[in-house]
Amino acid sequence: MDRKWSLIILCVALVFSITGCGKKRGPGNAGGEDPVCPVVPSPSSDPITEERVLFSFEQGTNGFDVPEWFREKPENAAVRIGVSKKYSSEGSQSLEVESNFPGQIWSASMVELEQYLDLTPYRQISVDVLAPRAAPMGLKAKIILTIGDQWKWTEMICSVPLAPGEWATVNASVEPGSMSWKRTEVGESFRSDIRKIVVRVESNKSPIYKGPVYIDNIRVGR
Amino acid sequence: MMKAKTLVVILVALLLGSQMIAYGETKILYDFENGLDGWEIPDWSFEDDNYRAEKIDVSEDFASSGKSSLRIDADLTGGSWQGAIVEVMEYMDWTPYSTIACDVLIPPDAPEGLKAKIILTVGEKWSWTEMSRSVKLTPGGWMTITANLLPGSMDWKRINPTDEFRADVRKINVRIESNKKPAFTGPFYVDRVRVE
Repeated sequence: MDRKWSLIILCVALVFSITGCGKKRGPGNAGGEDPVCPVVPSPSSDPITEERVLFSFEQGTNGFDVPEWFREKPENAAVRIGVSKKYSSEGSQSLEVESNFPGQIWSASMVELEQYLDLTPYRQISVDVLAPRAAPMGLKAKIILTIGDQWKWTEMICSVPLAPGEWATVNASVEPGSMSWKRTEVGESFRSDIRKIVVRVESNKSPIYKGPVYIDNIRVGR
Repeated sequence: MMKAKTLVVILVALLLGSQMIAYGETKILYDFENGLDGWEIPDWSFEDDNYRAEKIDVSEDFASSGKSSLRIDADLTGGSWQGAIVEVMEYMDWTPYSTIACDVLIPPDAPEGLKAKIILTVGEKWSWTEMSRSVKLTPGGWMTITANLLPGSMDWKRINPTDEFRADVRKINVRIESNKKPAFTGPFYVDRVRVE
């Protein structure tokens, strides 16, 4: 009898561990909470010696907007976007995303730009993100790209924690062999056909935060 | 002596000023003040269900400069990607210029979500060269569509423009687009096509 119960308990434990039941989840986060960057090694350890700013938000929003499909979802935390002179990591303006993270559920402030980009000459994509001093600890940020003919949604494998009042830089390698992207084998074609750049600030059930977050200086480096 | 020095300073300032003006010069290619200027709806687009421009004319409904603009009546029914396109064919050498721009307007009662872009046909092979992004249009407001023509520009889809690129432009197209939504039946306006 004891042996039978031990077997049942073992089976149940196995099923739980395989399905991942009990782990924290968010949309696009089927494997549980993302690890915190920068744990992901780059294929090349050579330093980045040259950067090119793609979007500096000095003249406006550069076409970035909250994705249409995400606006009506309960997970959407973005209320309004615009440019602001309050903070900037470079120049005098940044993109301001007025947000309302309600807590209890995974929620995100997400902005995107649809643009065909060939980043073949570059090894890295980066963005600076800031949560103001009044924001709580616990918000995180990541880059998401939409790639190729299939418009494949490709999230960074990790998120960068935002320390209130400090600019955090989110970096991801786009080189062949990069391990920066979730469930994606990065070949040469990856960086040659980027169709959307998305920056997402997220709260996984907590913290609760109502206020702006700032995005600036989206750039590529080699 | 003092007077001569002042005169020299003024002359130098004038010279520098005129050079700066020349550097930032805008050349208006089409302002539609005297007619269509050769713009038309391309024939091929009437045979493609995705393209739904119906009529082209000049109009005094709106103008971003002067009195009139190009008016295109479109019937975008939604549900699939659809566009309305107009073009002009002319051999153009834009070597002295770094950007192409035009102003596009949808009326105040048009829905949100329509976008617009410039497409060029360039070189011996008449290469169809789309802007790498589309610009969101705001109902009732003129939106300026701008693309950089210089080598290294990332404003063009799958092409890195060379000096030859802007030296041999053969067509300019302006296209408004609806990606499944919104549906829109009505006019849009193009004005002040220019290089800078």
